[in-house]
Order: sequence, then structure tokens, then C-alpha cells
Amino acid sequence: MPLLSAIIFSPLVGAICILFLPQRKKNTVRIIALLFSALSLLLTCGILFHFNPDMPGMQFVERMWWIPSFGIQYVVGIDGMSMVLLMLSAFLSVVAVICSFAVEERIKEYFFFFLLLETGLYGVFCALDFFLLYVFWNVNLVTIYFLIGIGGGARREFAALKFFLFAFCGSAALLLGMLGMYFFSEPHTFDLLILSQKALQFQGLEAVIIFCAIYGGCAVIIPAFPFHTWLPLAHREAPIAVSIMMVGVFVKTGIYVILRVCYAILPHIAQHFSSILVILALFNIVYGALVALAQKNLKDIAAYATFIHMGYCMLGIASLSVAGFNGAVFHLFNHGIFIAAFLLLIGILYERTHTLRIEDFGGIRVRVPIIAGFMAVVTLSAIGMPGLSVFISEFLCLLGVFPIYTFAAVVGVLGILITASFFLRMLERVFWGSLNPRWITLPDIRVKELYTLTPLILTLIVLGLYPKLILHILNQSMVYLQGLIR
Amino acid sequence: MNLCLFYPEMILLVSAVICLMWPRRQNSFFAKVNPLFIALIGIFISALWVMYADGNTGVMKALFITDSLTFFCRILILLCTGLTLLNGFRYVHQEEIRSFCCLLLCAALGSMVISGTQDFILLFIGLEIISISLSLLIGYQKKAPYGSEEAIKFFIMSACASAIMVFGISFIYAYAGTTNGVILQGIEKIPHAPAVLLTVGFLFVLVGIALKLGVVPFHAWIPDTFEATSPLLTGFLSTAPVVGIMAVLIRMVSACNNYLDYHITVIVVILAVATISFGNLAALFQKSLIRLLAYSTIAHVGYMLVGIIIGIPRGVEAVLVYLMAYILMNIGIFTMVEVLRGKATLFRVEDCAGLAKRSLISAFLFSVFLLSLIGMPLTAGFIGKFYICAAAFETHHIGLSVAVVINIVISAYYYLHIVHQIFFVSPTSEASISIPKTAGFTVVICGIGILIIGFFPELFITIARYTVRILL
Repeated sequence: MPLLSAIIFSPLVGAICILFLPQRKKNTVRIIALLFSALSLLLTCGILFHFNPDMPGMQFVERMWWIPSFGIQYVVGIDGMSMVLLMLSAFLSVVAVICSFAVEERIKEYFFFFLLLETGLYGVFCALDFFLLYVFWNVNLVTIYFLIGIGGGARREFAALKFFLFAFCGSAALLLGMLGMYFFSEPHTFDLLILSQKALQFQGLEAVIIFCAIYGGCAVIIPAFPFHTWLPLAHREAPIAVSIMMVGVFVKTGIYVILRVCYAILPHIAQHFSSILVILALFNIVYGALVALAQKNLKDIAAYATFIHMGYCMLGIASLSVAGFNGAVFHLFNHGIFIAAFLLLIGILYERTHTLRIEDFGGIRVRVPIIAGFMAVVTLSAIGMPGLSVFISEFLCLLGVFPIYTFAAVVGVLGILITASFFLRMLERVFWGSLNPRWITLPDIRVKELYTLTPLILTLIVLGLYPKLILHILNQSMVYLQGLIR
Repeated sequence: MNLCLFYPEMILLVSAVICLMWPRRQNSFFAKVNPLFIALIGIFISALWVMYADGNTGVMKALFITDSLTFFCRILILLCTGLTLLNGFRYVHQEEIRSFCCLLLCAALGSMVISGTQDFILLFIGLEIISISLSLLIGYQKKAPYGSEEAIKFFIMSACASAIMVFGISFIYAYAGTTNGVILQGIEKIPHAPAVLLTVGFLFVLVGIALKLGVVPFHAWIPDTFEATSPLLTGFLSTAPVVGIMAVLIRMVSACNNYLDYHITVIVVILAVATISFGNLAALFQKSLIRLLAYSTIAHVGYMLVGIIIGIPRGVEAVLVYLMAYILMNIGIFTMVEVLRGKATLFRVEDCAGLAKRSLISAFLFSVFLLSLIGMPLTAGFIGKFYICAAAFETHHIGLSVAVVINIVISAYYYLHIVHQIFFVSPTSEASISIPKTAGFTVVICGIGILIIGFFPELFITIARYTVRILL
């Protein structure tokens, strides 16, 4: 039973169905999109039950010859790391589709590209052949370009173009790295598992260049300093649901590909460069925190929060320790959850007030106590308050890096302090204080908005108290990965 | 004389003559049948002959060879011609149809001749057939504003190109004592003939070919010609002769790998990189859509030139795969431009605005072509570019590969500009787009072909590899 292929391609089937529907049947389009996304979510839960966390290798592997002339196969499979990210994708896809119901214009094209994006994301996380991964990676780029352009704000064309050009440069670097890996391996292959087993054949300058090419290509997506400038603009101009997919799932593919390709296949180079990678991660944290202090728009805060937290993930993976790897991937999951919740809350506020500038708000806690409560949980989670899941993952990242680069861990903690300052300032200015007279009649949360919000908040709390649920799935694959590096 | 090797070309010639002499008498049987049908039948019979006639491979007195490469090129040229003829049903005026068919078939004939030629003289004849037919075709529309001017320009340019090429051929003749069998077999020289004769001769022949292809710095005629003539002809003009000329270059490369002067290789590398870069950079600044596509065609020819440099076997396979993708992309996109252009003569990029709101299916097809031109995975354009980069890597021409990839990124900008106009800008005119049936058929075939090559490239890669293996 090809479960993984069913998960990957069911949104594609939905997209094709939508293509044949007439333009005016808006509700049918929405329901079909929700149906196929929920189908993938259900199948993912099904896989979760049959997933064996104690086995370090790939599970649910499916193979089929695609382009034998180049030795390219359609091969998909998951291990712990992919499983966790697959769950994140499936969960956030359904949340984002429900959030997309607010879109009124050009619904057919919007949901068509949205479902294609889901297929691309599932594909990236499951692909075990570099060429296949590259194909899905580019599908992501094209669909996000169209999504930002179709549904976005005033400067959406420029934002979409900037995003695409940056990401396409990264994709070009990835192509060069991919070809390099193919031609420097004996025998020539794109299969990631075989390449990983024969990792030691890559030596010398060529291996370094391949590593830099692939890392550089992924660095645009992470987003790493200094290739991150597409993120604030694209994030601001994209509709809320697309933002959720973009910062919730899409940017995770960057770190995932680094782990799956660079670290598994070129571990000796990764070891060689670990200090430089740590410094790059610190750039993310420090620069991101300082710039975020100056932000006046709620969506920009979300963008820079992503930027900073991805810095923590980079720190975790640069530490080359089991704790660091566990922390990094767990952090990818947690970040996805809390940023989705944050964006949902921002969307709720925007729908009522049509503004996202912090200074326009003030003291609305008295009018929207439930929203304030949820926002408080999300803020505490973004800061890394113990009791919520983000603390565990941030702690693990810093724990991994502390023995090796203590200085980096210290800077990381300082970064947490600055993050705390701007997040709490945002919370205080928006919700506390005296009520801004504009919002005297602000309505509180509606029941239908709770459907998507509550599971996210619950996840943050439950994983904060019992992180083993995710860490258990993750651990074996991270131990295996770390073993490769020794 | 093994004339039966030439039967496909002769079938085309017969159809061309019949089309030209198709009577104009009204109220008769002849008025009901469009000469285009005759031309299409001619192409169809020719294709059948190419595919199924026995005793198909052979050499005619070292003049012409029908091997796998000729087969491949003939099929591609017949496909181009057939698709262009299909477009002609709507877009060629009733009075001009006879000359259109005849000249198109003659140009196709010339391309097929040079794809199998072994001898420089036959090469020259074939190129002249193409040039004369094309210069007449460029000016055939009596009402086009710059048609006649451009026809004269093109004719003079081709005459210069042919003159330079003949000059080079004479040098090679001085070196080898014969023009026969020169392209495929090794050249045995006349005793005491200096090797510089061969190099110089080769260089001049190369310049002549570069002029026909539109390689930088001999590219200046391409944007003007593409803009002055009707887009459906531009589709043919940019594909069929290029197929033939690429076949010639492939044969030259496969023959001359051993004794080709190092300097010539360096020159060709510089030309190729210059072509790609200039084509892409110039296209960034174009306001007219057709000129933009003309510069992008120059860049695509440059990519194929990179494949030629890489040589046998991978580079040549790359060129063949790229050719398959290239003809579908070019014919498709120029047909779309013809459909969208309507009565206007100047077609700026902004005129595509809001296509998605006017006709979703046209927008979808247009973006398939544009994504393929960018080189997005799952389209034919990506398979072509991927093969060229892979071939470059395999033969350690990594710098060429990097140059190609950088230019792919640059080209993404201007193609995306068109996509942006199609999808994200409100339409300036509310006129609805109606795609006529035959042109629609062409566009759909090209679009589906691009997606099939993109999703299932194995068949096409195998065809290219088989062709090259037999060639060797």
C-alpha cells in the first residue's frame, strides 16, 4: 500500500479536480481543498501509528525507476526527522486551508497553487533521491510565487519577484551541488542513501565546493544572514494562510535538506566547518534580534521571530551533537506550531481592525480577553518559557552547543533576552495599557476561529510538559546521523 | 546513383510545386481545397517515408548520408513545418497561401538536405535553398510594414554569410584537394599543404554558420527579422534551420575532434558564453515581447553551442535533447504571440496584461511555455538544460556549467516579468481571446509535449543516446 505516495499526491489530485470546476462554485472549491488536505493529514496519522521509532533506517520506502539513463529513481521514504516534519506539514496545511476560507477573489487559482504547494512540501520531506528532491523543491518556489502574487497586499508583485529570484539563485546553487555530487561519486548516483553510505569518497576541494554550494542554496531558504532579505517583504505581502505555509513549513525545508544532504553525505566537511556555521547562526540570532527591536508591524515581528528561531536551529545543527540535532528538528516543529498560532491571531485581529501596526492598538485586552490569553501563551512560547514546548527545543540546541562553543551558547541566551524584550513589549503595547478608543466595539473570538487555534495552543502546552511524544520519534534518526559524523 | 535516399526531400519538392501551381479558378474543385492541405499531406507522406522505407541508411557517393542523425533531424524539421502549416490556416491570407506553402516546404527541404550532408558543396546548396526561401517568406506579407525592408536585409545578410562560407570552403579545398566526404571522414591533406589553411578555412566556415545561427557577435539580424515578420513564421525561422545547422555542427565536431586546433575551441567557447550572456542580458531591457523572445532565442542557441563544445558523446546527446525541447517551446510560444497579437503590429510585454482574467486556458498554456523557457523542473526546458550542465560536468567543463546556471537565473527575471503581466496585472483591453482551432491544436500539442518530456524524459533521452551511439 503506497501510503507515502498517497500522502504526497493526494493534494495534487485535489488541485487537478479544482482545475475542472467552474469559477463560480466557490464553496465547492474550498471543500475539495479541505477534503484532500485532510486526507493527507489522516494518512499521516495512519503512518504515525505504524511508524517504528526504534529503527534508525528509512521506513515506508517506495521505489520506482524514473530516468534510468541517469540512475534517477522515484524513491520516497521517511525516518524520524522526516516523520516529524511531515506531521508538521500535514497539520499546518489543514490549518492554513481553513484559514484560507476567508479569501474571496480568484479562489480557483489560489487553491490550485495551494494544493500544489502542499504536494511540493510533502515531496521534499519524503524524497530520497536528490533529483526528485530538487524537482519538489522547485515546485515549492513556483507555487509560492504565484500564491503571493495572487492573494497578497499592495507590493505583492515585487515581493513575489524578490522571493523567487532569491530562491531561484539558491536553487541554481543546489543544482550545481547536485551535479557535483552525482559526478564525483563512484558509481554515479543521485540516491541519497547510497551517497550517504559511501560518504568518504568525497574528499578535498571538490567536496568543500559541493558542501558550500548546497549549504548556500539552502541558506537562502533557512533564511540565513545575509540571504534573508526576501523574508520580511514576502511575509508582509503574502496572505495570512500563505504566510503560515511559508514560515511554518517552507523555511523548514532549508534546514531539512542541509541535514539530509550535507550532513549525511559530507559529514567530514561539516565537522571541518562547524565553527563557521556556528558564527553564521549567531549572526542570525544577534542581527535578527537587534533588527526586530525596531519593528512596528505585527507581521514583521513574526518574520523576524522566524529569522531568530531559525538561528537557534542552525546553532543546534552546527553543534554536531545528538542533543543539538534533536533540539534543532524539534525546534523546527515547535516553531512551526507557535508561528502558525501567532499568524492566526494576527489574522483574527486584522480581520477586525484592518491594521497591523502596533501603535494603532492599545489595551484591547479588556475587549478581547480570549485572544489576549492565546497571544500571551504564544508570546511566552516564542520567548522560551519553561512549560511550553519551545523551551525544551531551545534548551536542547543550547545544550548541544554549550560544551563545544560556550561563547555561542552565551550569545544565544542573550538573544533570548532580546527576543523576550521585543515580544513582551509588543504584547504590552497591543493588549495592556489604556484602551484605544477606536476599539471600543471590538468583538472577541468567534467559535469557528477556535477550531484551528485550539489544537495549536494545546500542542504547545502538551509538548512543553511531555516532549517525549515528538522526541521519541526523532531520537533514533538523530543518533544515527550523529554517528555518521563520528 | 542512390537517389532514393533523397525521396523525402523530393516528396516535399513535389508538394511545393503542386501548391505553387494550385489553380485559382473559382467555382471548381480546386477552390474548395486549401493548398495547405496539400502541403500537410506532402509532409505526412515524407514523414512516413522517412520512418518506414526500407534500405534507409546508405551513403550516396559520399555526398549525403541517411544515418540516425539525419533521421532525427528530418523528423524534427517535418514536425516544425507541419505545426507551422497548421497555424497557417487562420493566419495566412488567401492570396498569399500558395507562395507561403511552397516557400515553407522549400525551406524545410533545404534544412533536411543540410542535416544529412557530407560534402561542403551540398552544404552550401542547402543553406542557399534555406536563405532564399526564408528571405522570400519574410517579405511575403504585402501589408506588413517592414516586411520588404527586412526581406532585403535578410537576403543581403545571408548572401554575405554564404560568401564568407564559400571563402572558407575554398581554403579547405586547397588543403584537402576535395570537398567530398570532408565533414565526416578524416581529412587527408595534399602533401606539403600547410595546416594553417585548414584552420583558417574552418574559421571562415564557422563564421558563416554563426551568421546563420545568430551567434554573438553575428546576431544583429535576429531581433529585427523576428519583429518584422509574422510570429508564426518566426516560430519556423527559429527552429527548422537551427535543427539543420546544429546537425552540421554535430557532424563537424564528431569528425574534427582529433585534429581541431586548440585555438578554434577557445574561440567557440568564447562565442558560446558571449551568446548566452548577451542574449539574456539584452532581453532584460526589451519592451517589445517579440524582441525579448528573439534575444532569448539567441541565448538558447548559445546553450546548444555549449553542448557542441562538449563534444561526443554527452554534449551531442545534450544538443539533441535540447533541440527537442527547444522546437516545442519556440513554436508554442510564437504561436501564442500570434494568437494574442490580433491585428496589432507592435506587441509590447504590457499588452499581455491580465491574460489570466481574459482566458485562463491561454494563460495556463503561455505559462507552461514560459516556465519551460526558464528551465523549471517538470518541463522540457529543464531536461535540456540539465543535460547540458550534466554533460559539462562529466567532461570537466565546470566553468561552462556555472555560466549556464548563472544565465538561467538571469533569464528567470524577464520571463517572470511576462508571467507577472499575465497573472497579476489587470487587463488593459477587455477583448476576449479566441484561439482558432488549428492554432489551438498546435499550442496544445507543444504544451503537452513539453509536459510529457518534462515528466517522463526517459524515452527522449534514450532516443538521443541511441542516435549518437549509432552515429559513432
